[in-house]
Amino acid sequence: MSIIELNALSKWYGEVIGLNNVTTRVGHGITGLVGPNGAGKSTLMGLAMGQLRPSKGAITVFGDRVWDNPHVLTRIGYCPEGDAFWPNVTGRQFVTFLGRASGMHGAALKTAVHEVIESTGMTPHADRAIRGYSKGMRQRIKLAQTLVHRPQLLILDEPFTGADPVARHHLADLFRELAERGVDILLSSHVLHEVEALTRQILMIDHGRIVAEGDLQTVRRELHDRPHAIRVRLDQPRRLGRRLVDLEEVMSLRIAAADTLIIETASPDRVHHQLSGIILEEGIAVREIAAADESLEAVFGYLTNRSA
Amino acid sequence: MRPIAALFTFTVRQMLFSRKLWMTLLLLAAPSALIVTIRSVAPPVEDAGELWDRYHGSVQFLLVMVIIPLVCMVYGVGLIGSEVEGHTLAHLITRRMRRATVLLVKFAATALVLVVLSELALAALYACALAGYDVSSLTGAAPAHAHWSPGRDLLGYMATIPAGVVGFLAVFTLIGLLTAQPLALSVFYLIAMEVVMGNVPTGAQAYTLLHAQRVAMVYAIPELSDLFHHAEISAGLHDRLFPEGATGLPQLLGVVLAALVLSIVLVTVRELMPTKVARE
Repeated sequence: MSIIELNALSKWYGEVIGLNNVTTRVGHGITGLVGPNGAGKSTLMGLAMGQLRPSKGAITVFGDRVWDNPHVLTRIGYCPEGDAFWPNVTGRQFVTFLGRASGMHGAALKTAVHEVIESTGMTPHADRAIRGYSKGMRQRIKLAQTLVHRPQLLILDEPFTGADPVARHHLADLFRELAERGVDILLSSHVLHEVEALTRQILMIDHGRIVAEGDLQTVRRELHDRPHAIRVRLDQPRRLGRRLVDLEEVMSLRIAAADTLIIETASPDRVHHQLSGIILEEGIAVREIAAADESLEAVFGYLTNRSA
Repeated sequence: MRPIAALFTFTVRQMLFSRKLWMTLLLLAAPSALIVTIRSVAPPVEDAGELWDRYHGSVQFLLVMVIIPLVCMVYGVGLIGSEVEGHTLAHLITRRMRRATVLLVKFAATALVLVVLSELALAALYACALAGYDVSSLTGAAPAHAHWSPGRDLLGYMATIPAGVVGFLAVFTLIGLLTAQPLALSVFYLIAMEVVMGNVPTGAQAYTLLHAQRVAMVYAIPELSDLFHHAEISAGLHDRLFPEGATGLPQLLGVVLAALVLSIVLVTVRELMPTKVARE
């Protein structure tokens, strides 16, 4: 079942196209919305949060319209990309107010505020004014308000921005834990490996169009016009190369390093099969065989004509 | 009701802890400061008419005509605009409240604070202008003075000023939603439509918010009619502008309702999002 549905959705800003006739669905679990700056990620999120109105087409969340619809909106937690704070409030006041504004009160609110502040690692700083926070702290307190009303869907616009490596790791764990508890997450990032570390379910967007969607590996396999690259790590790459060069399926061979051979092929399954036989026959010690271009970054590069 | 109460108290709190409050207090205290300065340099007033003119003149031509509309402009234009600029509107319109509710709750909270501040400014002005004077012992020949009761006048002002505050706040809230650069339009409206048109001796002033407020004040303090009956206005025009028994409240209420309905329509249909954010 899909959580967010976009039907022939377009959004224009005057003559600038934000989203162009997009039809897609976002399902359960974590979905990574990836694309370069200006691709339309924030536009899509703004439409999903009812901050923007479609110029054409429709968007529904939980099967209902989202614009000015508190019943749907209270089931969503939204973390905007930039700073969005009132002056003169502490982190705890910020989260508490937005919990109250979502209808929470009493002991339940107090507990929820305590939990989300704890889970985002903001307990030591919660009673300080937000204006004195570092960028990473501001990002984490924004995430705390996103979670305080226990939403079913999280829409997170660049949630890792400003966070240091430890905080990024901590946040990634938090998102995984939330997903395991059944919370659906749509998160955008232009740092592809961060998304890849969280999910294989992607929605790739460029110039306002969805260029690929679904499981990352499946998306890669459907790129028939792009040869697949297989990376083999071994001590004698030339020796293996000499055996592979005659294979019909092998399109090219490249020694990328003293111990690395890159094989390009349109039929990766058949090459993998034959590769095993040759390695056994030759008695070559191989340390690693892996797909070299099934990373999100590589696929994204292929799809948007950027170098992988 | 809880989200509404939360937004109401949060808005009041934000107003009371903002830097803007200090500027507002300074503006509202300006007439009192002026009166104190005048009293400290000029000899004591012995004529009741002069004292009456000084007190009511400073209330009418400083506080009511200039300062309260100016304060309402600052807060009205920023009622939603400051949330848009601060990117915080996203938090409010994605909670358990409709957009119209967010607008109305913020409006009500802002109006409450401004009414309280205006009443305090009025009381301060009363104290600064009239403290130390025994009105009944002063000489004077102006028609109102025989029965002048400063305490009754203060109550009259206190009863009518909230209507003006709410009216101006509603108009400036609407202007704040109409355009992305509302300050220029607001200043134009305040100067051209209220200060100039509201004071020219023609029937046109009847269409200003300032005049509707004056009618309400004249209803509460009939002697004020003299203050607005200057040489350029014929008796006939004066009677048309201040008809017998008119309260001015239907006009004020009409303006408030019209401005709020239009504001609700705008806040409900417009995206209210900084364009650069929407475009990433």
